[in-house]
Amino acid sequence: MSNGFLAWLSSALLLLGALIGLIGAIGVLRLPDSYTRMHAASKAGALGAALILGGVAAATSGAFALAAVFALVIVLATAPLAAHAMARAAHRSGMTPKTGPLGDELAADVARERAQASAPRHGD
Amino acid sequence: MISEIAGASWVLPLTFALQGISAVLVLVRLIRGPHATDRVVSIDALTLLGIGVIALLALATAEPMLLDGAVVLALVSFLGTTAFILMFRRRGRGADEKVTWVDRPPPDEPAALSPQPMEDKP
Repeated sequence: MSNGFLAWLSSALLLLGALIGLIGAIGVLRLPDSYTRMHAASKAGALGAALILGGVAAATSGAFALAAVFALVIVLATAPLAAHAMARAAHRSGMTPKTGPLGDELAADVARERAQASAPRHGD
Repeated sequence: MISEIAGASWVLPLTFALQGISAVLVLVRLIRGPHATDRVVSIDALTLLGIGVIALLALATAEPMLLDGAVVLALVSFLGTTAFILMFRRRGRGADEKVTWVDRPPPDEPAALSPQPMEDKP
């Protein structure tokens, strides 16, 4: 009976992963900004790939399920890192984001650091 | 090894079709993307879709060795995305690196770092 449960779980995870990947792809196509597209691609895309890999891990057993879980862990560990580094690089190269009500926090931080670096020191 | 998944006759083709539609949507953004960052983002999304497709292929063809390919693609996509980041750096080169600026130096850079004209020596 557990085999049947695993079969249903695998199918559900595969379908859910493909649907979330589709939602992420629609976000990559439709969102207005490079940063928001990055958000859709990294979060929804990584979740879709991770769910599909989880479905494959539920369908297989033994060393192959372990390989699928390993790929899942790698995707979940590296996709946010890559998106974060890319967002910082894009910001440093001068792309201005379309900001919401909270404003551009990274630009404010960089301006504050520059002001502190160029200010004369009081200690000596 | 591989156990049957429920409703394999329609679940696997449907997931393949959904991944294909997602890949087409991302490809439209890859071709149309106004900035280079948009293209890098879409390449990242395409590799994530490719990981899913390889894992699905491992199920559909009952060859679980393809999962190793999914692992390798997951690692390589991270390396590729971080390598594309080098494209965007404008002032990331260290002062000890003897690299001439490709374009003009950024305005807040001290003038000593800008390339000195080479003396012509016979």
